[in-house]
Amino acid sequence: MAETGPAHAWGLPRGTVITVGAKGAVGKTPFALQTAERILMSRPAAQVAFFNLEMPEEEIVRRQIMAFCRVTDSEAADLVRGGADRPVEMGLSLAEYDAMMERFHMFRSQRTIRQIESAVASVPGEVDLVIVDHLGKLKAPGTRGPYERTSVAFVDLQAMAADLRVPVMLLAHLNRHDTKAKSDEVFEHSFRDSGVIEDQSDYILGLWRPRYEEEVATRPRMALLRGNLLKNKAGHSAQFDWNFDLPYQRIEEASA
Amino acid sequence: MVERALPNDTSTEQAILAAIILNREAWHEAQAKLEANDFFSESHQLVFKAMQEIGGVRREAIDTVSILAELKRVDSLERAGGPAYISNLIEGFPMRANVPQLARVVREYSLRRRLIRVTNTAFHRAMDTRTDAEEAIEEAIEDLRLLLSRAAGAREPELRGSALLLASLERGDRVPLGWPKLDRRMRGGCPGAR
Repeated sequence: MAETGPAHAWGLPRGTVITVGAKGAVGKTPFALQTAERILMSRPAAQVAFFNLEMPEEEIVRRQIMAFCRVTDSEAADLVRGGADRPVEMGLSLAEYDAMMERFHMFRSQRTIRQIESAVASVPGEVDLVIVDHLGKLKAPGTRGPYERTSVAFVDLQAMAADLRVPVMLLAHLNRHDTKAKSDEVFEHSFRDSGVIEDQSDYILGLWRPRYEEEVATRPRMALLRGNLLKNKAGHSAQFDWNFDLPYQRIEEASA
Repeated sequence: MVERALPNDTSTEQAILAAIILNREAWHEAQAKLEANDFFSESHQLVFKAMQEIGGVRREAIDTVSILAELKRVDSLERAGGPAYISNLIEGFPMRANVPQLARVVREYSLRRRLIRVTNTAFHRAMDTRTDAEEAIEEAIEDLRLLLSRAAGAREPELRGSALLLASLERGDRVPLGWPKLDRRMRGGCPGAR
């Protein structure tokens, strides 16, 4: 479809990869899951493929129910025990959640890009976003050492995205200990240990929590999640703020 | 730009907070329709946040004692008006109140204040000749779109707003991720794109 106006030009181009990097426990996975939710809710036919290479499936499902159905951790368990007909005060009911999950394809056993490509190709119809969680768990046969492994995996992932014309969100786990940084802020050089990502990415989004230590100490309900768009093929870098509702693991764009 | 006091009705805000304390059912009605920043008074915002923690997160009974304790816990008691103000919140209010109606009034004023903020921001963007005019227009439209979705009843305006945007687009060469500000920054192929 031709780009006929500014709105049609928004978003991640098909065939490209956005790398979302953050240190541990900042909110990468909630961000990715809620990106999936937003895409799934945008169109009845939208589909997302999620390659969950790290967490147990139950953990992902629990996090999804918390965020999508607007319930806390313990309530999510109650909701599942109570069955699909149980009404939910806010957000989706469990039945609505289940219906939406039919278009959310979760994969766990794939580790190489070739396996991921086959799995994406096996999804009937078009996939609107592939999410890979996370880079460190990918394998690249024949490589030696983590730098070469992540470099090859990343280049292969870019090729897969281009071949299948799917946009890909790749999550990258960054070391919390960064001697060059005075805070947990994510910079381009934070990806230096992640192979060729720093040089070859079209889009890099670094997530961090400017008040992380204070938030860990005081455990407020709402945390501040900040995104630094460090590489942007389409233009300038930028910074975004999100409100992260911790009990519900829910992220909302800070707005007027 | 705005010299008059922003639209507000603090007595209605007080009425709904009193209703929540006096009637357990009122919390469920109020929390589904309101957020803390819908309240004009900072004191009322803090009290409602305390209620969210007590009734929403901890699922405990909301009463004057628990509100005082929560405000004290987060070191906001004085900013919320002090113990005397909190203790007297329910004075003069009936046990049963029309909570949906009270919530509607609080939301109505909240929306008006947000509209003023959005248009004020648009005004300043338009006055700043260093910024791209088209981008200033797009940002104003997006802010208004989010506000409109909030007015339509969305608890989370950006989700509905972005969903409206996403739904309005046929499948194209780009996939909006549903975060409008990020999506806009990743745009391309139009004049003035950054």
